[in-house]
Amino acid sequence: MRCTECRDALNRASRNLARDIEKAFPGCECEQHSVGDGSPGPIDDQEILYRLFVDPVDVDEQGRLAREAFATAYIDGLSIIRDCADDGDIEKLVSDILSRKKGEAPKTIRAIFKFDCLIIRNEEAPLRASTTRGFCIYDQTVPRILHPKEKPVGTHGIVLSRRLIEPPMVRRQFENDCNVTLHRLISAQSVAVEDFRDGLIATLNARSLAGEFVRTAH
Amino acid sequence: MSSATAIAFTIESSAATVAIPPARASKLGPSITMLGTLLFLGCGPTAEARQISPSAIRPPVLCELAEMRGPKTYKPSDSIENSIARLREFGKYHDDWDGNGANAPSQDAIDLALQFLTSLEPWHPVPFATMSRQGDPVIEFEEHSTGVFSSIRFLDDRSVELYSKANKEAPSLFVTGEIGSPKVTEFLATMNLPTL
Repeated sequence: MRCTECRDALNRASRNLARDIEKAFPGCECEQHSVGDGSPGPIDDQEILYRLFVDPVDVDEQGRLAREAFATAYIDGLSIIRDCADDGDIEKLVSDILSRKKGEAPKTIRAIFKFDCLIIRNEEAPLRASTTRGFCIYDQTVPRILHPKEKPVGTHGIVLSRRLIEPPMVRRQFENDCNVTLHRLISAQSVAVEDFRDGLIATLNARSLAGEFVRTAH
Repeated sequence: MSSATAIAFTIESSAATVAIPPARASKLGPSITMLGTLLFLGCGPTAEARQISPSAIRPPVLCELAEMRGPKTYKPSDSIENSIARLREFGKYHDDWDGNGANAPSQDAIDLALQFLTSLEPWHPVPFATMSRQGDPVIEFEEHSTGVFSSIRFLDDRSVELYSKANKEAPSLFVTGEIGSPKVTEFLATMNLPTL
């Protein structure tokens, strides 16, 4: 029963997902349930995860990564890819990330970071003169963008901040703290785009630059 | 130097005051020293003037601040130029620039952020320009030697949000207010940044 509620809540498109989930299922309760459509199961502590960055706003030409790039973690979730994803899954997920409207400039994956699930789950945040977990990681899946009628890719996941804001801290200060923490944890291990899965993403970048991944009106 | 003493200021939505640790406040030292050196070197008599009338040359301490803030005769650092170029590019962005509902920036906020970038000097922390999904230009600063991270978010009503975190364990500091207000000016000084 609780599993179904978790699935429904995490698959609801909400700009306040982090807030809503912490309110309804505090303490990362939904981590023990598989919530994603087609997911191989809840994300294990020992799993290796990847975060890809595509926007020039987030990463400059020298590969410098902005703290602000992690802001979605306290809004509707920071998308991640599980290492258990096969190349087909990676291609589908990255194609959606690279998708663009007609007339927009092609996108490319600019940076890839590899991290252990456990370092995020072990991160503690201050609360009531003590500490508690600051982030949750769910096996949430998302609708396909380029091919909306196809099933979601099961090896997608999200990092969600628990939004534990306690006075005198204010919301924006908390969000900055969240950005700084995730930047420290996730950006520690960079993977060269050319080296990832024998150039799989480099090839997808080249296809994007050649004009692929343009969304059609649905 | 008075700037080496702890400075108290109020954090937004809080009655508490936070004292800037002396170690951080002392970071002001080098920049003040460098500014003093530049005042001395930049305003001293030229060789030609010295030959004409040594006594007519005003002493360095009388050099006007406006002269210091005049057009720079040296090339800004790559980081500053890179950040200026990035912000100019972001200024062209329209709504939904990330394909996920992000807001376009306001030109006023972009202009203010650009103005701030041009006021940076080589001894200031290295800037990195980015933008929030709400369309606010943000300049991030990281001091690799100390690990201090700071950021300024420019809002479209000429106010800013200032954030600073000395290290992983230290609690962060945060202030929001209008540019030129005492609390913003004071916080910028503790961040070792120009006060606009």
